[in-house]
Amino acid sequence: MAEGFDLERLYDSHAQALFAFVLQLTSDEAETRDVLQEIFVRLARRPELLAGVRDERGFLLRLSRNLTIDWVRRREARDRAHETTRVNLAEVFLPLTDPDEEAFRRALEVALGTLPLEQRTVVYLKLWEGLTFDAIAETLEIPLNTAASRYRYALDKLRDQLRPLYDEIR
Amino acid sequence: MKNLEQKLQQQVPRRVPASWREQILTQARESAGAAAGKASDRGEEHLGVGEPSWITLLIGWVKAWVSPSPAALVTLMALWVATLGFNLALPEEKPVSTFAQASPSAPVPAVVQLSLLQQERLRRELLDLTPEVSGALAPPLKPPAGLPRRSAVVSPYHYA
Repeated sequence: MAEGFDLERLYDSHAQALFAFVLQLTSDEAETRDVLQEIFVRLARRPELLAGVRDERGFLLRLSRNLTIDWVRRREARDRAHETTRVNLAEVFLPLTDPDEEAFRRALEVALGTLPLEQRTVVYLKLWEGLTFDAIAETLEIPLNTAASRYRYALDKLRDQLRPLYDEIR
Repeated sequence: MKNLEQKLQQQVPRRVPASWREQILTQARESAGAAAGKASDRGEEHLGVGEPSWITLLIGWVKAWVSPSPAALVTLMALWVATLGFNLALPEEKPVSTFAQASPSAPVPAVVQLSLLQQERLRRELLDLTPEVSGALAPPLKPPAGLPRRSAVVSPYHYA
């Protein structure tokens, strides 16, 4: 296996999606970089990880989800130990020029930050990765109904939080 | 709901910084090279990245040992059964008497001495020990005057 070539191809094919996904979960650019780094270090060390994998993107999303959860838990434990809270959350979506749209974007990022990690994961995969519930269930190794219900609950919460802005923009 | 979903989908995720590509790929290659060097030094493959916790290592070890190998699981169960059988087959521990535990130099209480003496006396009477033997054990008992010795009564020569 030509590791260098494959690693570059993997990066070019999936890094953007993994970056957006992990950033959505961590809201922290430095952590996102660390997770991304760790994913590619693992792939470089053990190229056989991808041997026999049908869906590369699904596999990498699952790997990044697992690593991100570990990372976030460690950080939360650290924050608890030092009694600190993060104040500067990284921007997840591109800034917009229209003030109303920009206000909505900011409100959306805040609202997404209030969702449990599991719901945020499903919302991201459904809305921005464009996966079906079947694919989400397979990627996250959860039942189909769980994926669908997590999405529904998350969307209800987002609607409640964004309704004033959303109605205004509409 | 569809409108909200469409509205959310209009948001464009940020782009991965271009400078990361070279940094990440270079670091990944270097790390892989270093890991390969270490593995060849040790003669084994290094797994994973970072320092996993001991519980992760333990679970991983158990999974790796048992899960993919039914033979290992059967061996483990056989060991358990053998251990249990061995434990059951061991003789039960006999209770140790208080006298055995006591120090040999400890003085024997008078009540115990008397009891032992009586026991010995009875035993001698039952076995009819000769004075030579019994004399070494305890002071000879003197039968009341006028009575024949017990040995004379039970002696086979008496009937001859």
